[in-house]
Amino acid sequence: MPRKTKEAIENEEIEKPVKKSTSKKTSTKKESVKKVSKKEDKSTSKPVKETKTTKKNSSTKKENKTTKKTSSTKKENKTSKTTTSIKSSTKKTSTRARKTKNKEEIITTLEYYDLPYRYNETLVKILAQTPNTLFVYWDIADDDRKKLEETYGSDFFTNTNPVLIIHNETKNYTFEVEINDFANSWYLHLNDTDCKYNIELGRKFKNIPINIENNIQNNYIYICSSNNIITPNDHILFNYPNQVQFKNVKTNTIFLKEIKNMKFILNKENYNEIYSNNFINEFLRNNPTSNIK
Amino acid sequence: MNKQCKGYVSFVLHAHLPFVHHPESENYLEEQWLFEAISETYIPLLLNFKKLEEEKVDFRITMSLTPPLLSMLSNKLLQKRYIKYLKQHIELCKKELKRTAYDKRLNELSKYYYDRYSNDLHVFKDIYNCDIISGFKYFQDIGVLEIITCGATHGFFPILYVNEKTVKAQIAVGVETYKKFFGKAPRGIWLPECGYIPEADKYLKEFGIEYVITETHGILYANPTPIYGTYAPIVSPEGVIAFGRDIESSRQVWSSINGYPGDYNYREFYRDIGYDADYEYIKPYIAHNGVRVQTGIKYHRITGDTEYKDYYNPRWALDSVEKQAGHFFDSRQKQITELSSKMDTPPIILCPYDAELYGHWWYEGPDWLYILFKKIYYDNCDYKLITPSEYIDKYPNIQVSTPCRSSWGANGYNGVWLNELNDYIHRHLHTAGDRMVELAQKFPNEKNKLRKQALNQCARELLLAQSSDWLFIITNGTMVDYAKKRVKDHIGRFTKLYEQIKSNTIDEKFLKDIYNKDKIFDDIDYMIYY
Repeated sequence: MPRKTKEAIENEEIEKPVKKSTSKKTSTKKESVKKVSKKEDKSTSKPVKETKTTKKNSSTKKENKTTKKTSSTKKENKTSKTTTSIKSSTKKTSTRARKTKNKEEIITTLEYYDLPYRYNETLVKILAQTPNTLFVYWDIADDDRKKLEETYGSDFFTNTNPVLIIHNETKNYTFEVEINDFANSWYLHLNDTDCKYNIELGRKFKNIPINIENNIQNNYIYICSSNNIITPNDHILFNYPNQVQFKNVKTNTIFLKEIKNMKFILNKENYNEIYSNNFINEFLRNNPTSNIK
Repeated sequence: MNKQCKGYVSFVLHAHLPFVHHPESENYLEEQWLFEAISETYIPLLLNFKKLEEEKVDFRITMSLTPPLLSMLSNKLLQKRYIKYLKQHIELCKKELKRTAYDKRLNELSKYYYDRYSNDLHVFKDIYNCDIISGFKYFQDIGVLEIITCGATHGFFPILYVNEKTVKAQIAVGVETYKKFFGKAPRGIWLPECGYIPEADKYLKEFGIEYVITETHGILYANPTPIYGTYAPIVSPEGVIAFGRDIESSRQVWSSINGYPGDYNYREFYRDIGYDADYEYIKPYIAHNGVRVQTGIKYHRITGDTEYKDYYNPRWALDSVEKQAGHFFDSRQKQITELSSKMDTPPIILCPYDAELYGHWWYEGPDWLYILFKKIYYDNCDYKLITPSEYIDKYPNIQVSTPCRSSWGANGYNGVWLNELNDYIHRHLHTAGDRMVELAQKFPNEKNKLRKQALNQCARELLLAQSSDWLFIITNGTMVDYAKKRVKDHIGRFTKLYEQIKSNTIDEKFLKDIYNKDKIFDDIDYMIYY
């Protein structure tokens, strides 16, 4: 395994710039985020926030395209791979060595796979990447696209922009991020950590057609909702209750200890002495386990 | 030895490799990950445990042996290939003995490697009868080693739990595999990548898991704040106990600047005759396509921050091992003395590491453990080694608190396994997970033999696709092509079978073929997804 070896770091250094140029991804842009003042009046929200969103173009598409290319120009690629790996002779190569045809291979079914381009489902899913970054991906099934076009006109998808509406269930506020149809996933910056979030995928008209004006509230057409995610906490809470709950894990009995009667605990002072925030952050950032720097 | 005991140190080594098994070709270099780990880590650890046992040193250590690793170690084809690997190395060492005859120091090292690989072959074939797992089981049975389990294929829970049943299946298969190999239930689990989410607790409980290992902030950022920091476990409201990693001891070993493995007397990882030797001479022992790769025969020591590397000297390396074991020993004594004055319960210093750090990466690591364990047993100190289970049994009163969502990856959360390099994969993992549940619900308790086999194979393919290793490798930038191929293969095989099952057109030949390739979890029952 190439885990946490200097080798990995070295290669990262060598490979990263190359990757950047080929992966044509991620432009970071700042967007001002509007409060959404519709739907169940959840907008008892916070003041308007400046939110950073990282835009990403549909990587799956590209991934697929490149891999398809690879399959058609397999031979060429093989040779080019070999040359690159010879050049960087200090690394373990993943290049599968050129096959020598032996008996074992002949009896095996020839397999070649690409990841499916899409699954034709209407969905939006979210994952927490960090305490304040959500990763979102989505798709709209062909049937649902058709239905939308039947309801709102055949130019529905050109006349509307996709939006993500982010609900913070813990702090009870909502905000909106406009996205675009070139993407099928997105990174959203969040200001509040340790909160429950879910997201709606919807669309907004650039110009609302007159004939359907009365049917649309707040210029918003709901498409689907995501799963719920609770984002991680990112700091020591120092929320010592007056009574600390203990459990005897053998008997399953719960009992309370008065914190002020406890002479020996790591109070805030001890905590800071042993684990200063810088110390923890530094440790986590350079976490030796994964050596990503 | 009877000594006053003010605190404990607990070593936990996580032994894991992704499932790599290619009966269709011998040309996958990735299979060598296993062989290198056996020679450099697993056998050296076992030999050192044996020495400790023979010297009547009462020690304690905890190891997770993950289901993919157990599956590979017990795989007949891979055992055969490991023997072949060793024989090739012995053959090369013989050539080296001749080649290096001109230099006495170098020739001694050639002899050293010749002996070492010959001994590996002897240990593997004659002592363990090709079954390394029985070696570990022996030490568990005599009570010095506690083996814990892991997720079935090291699937990263914080990403999978969008569909909780896929997390449940990782846990269920992890526990079942453990039972099959060790004849009893595991008490603890190494959460893949230490990825903790409270949502998994109910499943951990359901399958009898008592404790998990988390990264430091899994405990420090818990709610409410643990009154003993990482120096005592906490128990979640669901009843899962969490032990957190100690920062100080981790840094001493790991630090890239002054960590132990960087000692100038230690073996240099990057100088290898695979790179250094004459090309025509070394060609039969490197990659099949002629690319120079490591052979494991390394003649140099770190020497210093210079290009020039001096020859390795095992005796000097041993001196450094002694010195550093002493340093670690003293540092824990100091730490425990300070902590025990602030706590009304004996502190536990938890030291979790990748097992492959010891031996593969830090060549002298297994010897360091041996010397340290001897010191802790014989020398004057007021702490002992302990396993998490023993600690729980001795000190069952544990503060109730919910651990923080966390992992041991860089920055402490999910970014290593979810970022712009690998995020295109997650929708496929999620969809395959949903489809697996759909299949289980559509064909519950299937009686048709062929369809049942296909359903079980779907479960295997899904699990293999979920390995966090593929995402990690893509992020890390080495062997990327292989990792991407593995994701495509498993998702591809899953999808093909899923469609065949639904349209009742199962291709028996295809099924048999992928069953032989992805030969893991023979007894799996797809109904875990029901």
